[in-house]
Amino acid sequence: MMTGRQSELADRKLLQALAAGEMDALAAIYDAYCAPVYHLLRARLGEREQAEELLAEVFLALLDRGRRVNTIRDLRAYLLTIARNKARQAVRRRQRLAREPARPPAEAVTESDPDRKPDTIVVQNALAQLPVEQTEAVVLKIWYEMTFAEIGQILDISPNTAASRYRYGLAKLREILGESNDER
Amino acid sequence: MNDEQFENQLRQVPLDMPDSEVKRRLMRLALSKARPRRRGRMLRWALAAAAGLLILINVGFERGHQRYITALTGPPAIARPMPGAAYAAGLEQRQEMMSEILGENGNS
Repeated sequence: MMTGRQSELADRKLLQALAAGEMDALAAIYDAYCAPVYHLLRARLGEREQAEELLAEVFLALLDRGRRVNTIRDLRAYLLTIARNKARQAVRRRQRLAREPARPPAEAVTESDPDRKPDTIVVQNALAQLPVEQTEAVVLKIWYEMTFAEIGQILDISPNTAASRYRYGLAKLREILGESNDER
Repeated sequence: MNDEQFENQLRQVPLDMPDSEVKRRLMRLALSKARPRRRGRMLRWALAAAAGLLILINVGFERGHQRYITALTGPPAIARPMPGAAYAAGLEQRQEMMSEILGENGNS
């Protein structure tokens, strides 16, 4: 199970090392946080390729801060906010250039990769069928165990809105995956 | 299955991860970004050192030049100490000479 978070002290040390110009620190930060950033990008963009392209840009944005990088208080929230903004810009660019919908139809997660477990395929496909806003809330809540307040801060919405999107998303996922709620 | 059980079940399913090539590309880009910054810092230090050296050379040259000029012309008159009595006698003599000159011209 991934939580996508390491201790504040570990983050602080990495940021100080990065501010001093140690590139190994950037690699360590990537290893710690690439998963939540990538999944947020995938949720918004739908496409693996574009999500991977923006993933590198999100972490490169740390270098643009130079020495001020060690003033970042919450590294995970910072990276996810950058990811959200970059994804929004990419979507707007896509819409402007090609008059395409905000998110293209979900990519079929094929079974060609033998390492990919069948459940992953089913769940990824199910997530891709949710509206973007619900996918984001569900992924951040379930796989990264973020609170609604944290989700709200990253997505620039209120905690109540985050909770509402999550609940609708979860209900829709149940429907798609054919799971019944026996206690309802 | 209640919501909590459903959430726990979903949580056990690993989501797709990015290709490892992304990390390699990131590090290549990061290194190429960091290199000009280091070069820029070194260049700034080199320029500051060169400017400091130029200033030192200039000050040294100016002092040397001053010593050379002083050696040619001697120290300024005001720098030479003059005894008071000799100065007073010189003034008096000059006064007499001026009176003689003016007296001749005035009386003529």
